[in-house]
Amino acid sequence: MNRRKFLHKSVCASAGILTLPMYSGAYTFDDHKDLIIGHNSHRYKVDLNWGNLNAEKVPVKDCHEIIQDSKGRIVMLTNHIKNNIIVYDKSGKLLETWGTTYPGGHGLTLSVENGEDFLFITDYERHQIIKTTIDGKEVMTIDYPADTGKYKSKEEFKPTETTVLKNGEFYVADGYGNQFILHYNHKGELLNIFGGKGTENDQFLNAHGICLDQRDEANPILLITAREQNKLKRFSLDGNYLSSIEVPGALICRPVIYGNEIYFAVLKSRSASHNGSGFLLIMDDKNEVISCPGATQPIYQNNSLKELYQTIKLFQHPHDVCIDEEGNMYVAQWNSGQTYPIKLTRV
Amino acid sequence: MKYIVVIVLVVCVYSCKKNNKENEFTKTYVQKEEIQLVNPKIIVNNVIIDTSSSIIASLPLDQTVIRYTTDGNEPTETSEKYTDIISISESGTYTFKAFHPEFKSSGSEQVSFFKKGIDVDIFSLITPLNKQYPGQGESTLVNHKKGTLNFRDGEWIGVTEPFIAIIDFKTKIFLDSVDIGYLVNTDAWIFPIQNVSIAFSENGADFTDIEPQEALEKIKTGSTKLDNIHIPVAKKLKKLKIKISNVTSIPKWHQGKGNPAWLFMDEWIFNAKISN
Repeated sequence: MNRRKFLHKSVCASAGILTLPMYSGAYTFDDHKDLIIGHNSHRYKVDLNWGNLNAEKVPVKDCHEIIQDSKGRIVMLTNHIKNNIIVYDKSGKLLETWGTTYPGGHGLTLSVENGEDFLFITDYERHQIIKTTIDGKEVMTIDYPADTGKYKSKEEFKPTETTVLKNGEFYVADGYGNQFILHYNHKGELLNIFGGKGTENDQFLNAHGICLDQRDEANPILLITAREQNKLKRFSLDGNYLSSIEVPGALICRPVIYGNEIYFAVLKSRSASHNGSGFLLIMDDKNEVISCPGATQPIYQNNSLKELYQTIKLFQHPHDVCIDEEGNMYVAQWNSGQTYPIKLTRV
Repeated sequence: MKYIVVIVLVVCVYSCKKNNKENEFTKTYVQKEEIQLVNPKIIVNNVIIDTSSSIIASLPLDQTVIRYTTDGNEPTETSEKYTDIISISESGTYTFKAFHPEFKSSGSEQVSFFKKGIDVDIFSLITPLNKQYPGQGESTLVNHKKGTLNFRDGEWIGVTEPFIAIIDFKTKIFLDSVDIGYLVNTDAWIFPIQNVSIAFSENGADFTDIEPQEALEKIKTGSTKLDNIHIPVAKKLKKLKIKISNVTSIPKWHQGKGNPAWLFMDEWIFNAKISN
């Protein structure tokens, strides 16, 4: 545990000396020293206390991904097999935990089907995708796509992320495996496979995250991160490469769309010489970076973005973000000393 | 009097409640003063100086000031302020640190420059290169190129056993000193040099040991850095035999305790004057 401990001075203890209202100003904390991170329209205060739990009872290892379910609860996936799923309310209070069989629990995606919440979990150690009900009953398991001929063994399949369409079809990014993107129907039958490892436009180095982008309702597409290449790639739903968006210096994990913006946890700054050099990144409706909480201000010069990198040691290895209906952000971190999610309050 | 006491108590309780709430509300957030700046980003052309080199330091965050020293000490708030690219023509060590009125100052970032050494005529390896990290092959250590913190950048040779080489300068030279560059990256099990022994030969056949110098570095916590051992020689010679040993048993504090450590070297620099 490497979390800051706040000094909770007891106001009442000192009230014996300062009882009169005229002194009450002495209690008011100097508000403008609050750290505010981010740029332009997307700026946040940071709450490191949110969601902290008793590590002996509800431990975490890596906090890989975090989503909000239909009831507004914050659902987090860790690879700690005592409690792979930890469910919070928005205040950070623990509601429930479940899951003991996801040692490589990595990807977590919500799918709402006829008003019922389901979760898609990818597990790179089990080499599987598992669909569960919101309270953890497994309803479907997908193994490695042996019939495609793209995999010699299940060990080559290390899925990192899924995204689900309204009709139940879903896509899987094999970001730690052979870098293919797999397209399944709602029954889990493979429809298409594309991508693969490489540096061509339609290939990936670390196809870590994927999401459906239907901001343009008439033309839904896929957004897929090529994390090692510091790129976000756009693909049609049938797997054709469309274009790439460069984010120099930023190892973007998965795209998360909220409103018209795309949010990313950035695992690390490419050129940093120190460990724990991550930050967050937000793109606007034109896919231009408008805010980088914890890092340099995004600046475009001659239409290209200058290299981004961490400026303050706040985040270590952010791995995913979740945005609630008030625009606040919850940040899950990988390899950060077993810390719980961080809440950012939008200002 | 009784009423006054009650009023005071009511005021007290009221103000406690009110302020407690305010306090909790505002103190929930991380304060600027609790957060440290990252180290300035340093860009250098080349650290082995043939004619000249330069350093650019940056940390683009409002109100940040970068300061530096040239004596190896950590910069303070009164050290020289970095304002623009620094041109370098002599060997030396530059240390940078970022300061901010509200954030904690950064750690320091150091870069050392070396004058280009003389060319080696024949570099003979006595021990084999490790197949995993052969660098650019046999000439890696005498190609006048330094490595970066990335141990896979091709400029580093990595070994897990003692490394021995004979350097033949062909003609007799006056060798002032040798600089041995190495890497520390404890996360990757790369530790500093454990031992150096050097022997020299004036006639090219018989070797005499040079007395060992100062104690070598032992690290006690995890770290990642470029470093260098400067070994004074001050001898006329034709050939040198250098043996560098890796850490044979990783210390207890590290997860690899008891195992041999990797030793990574990028360049041996021979600071010499041609002699007759």
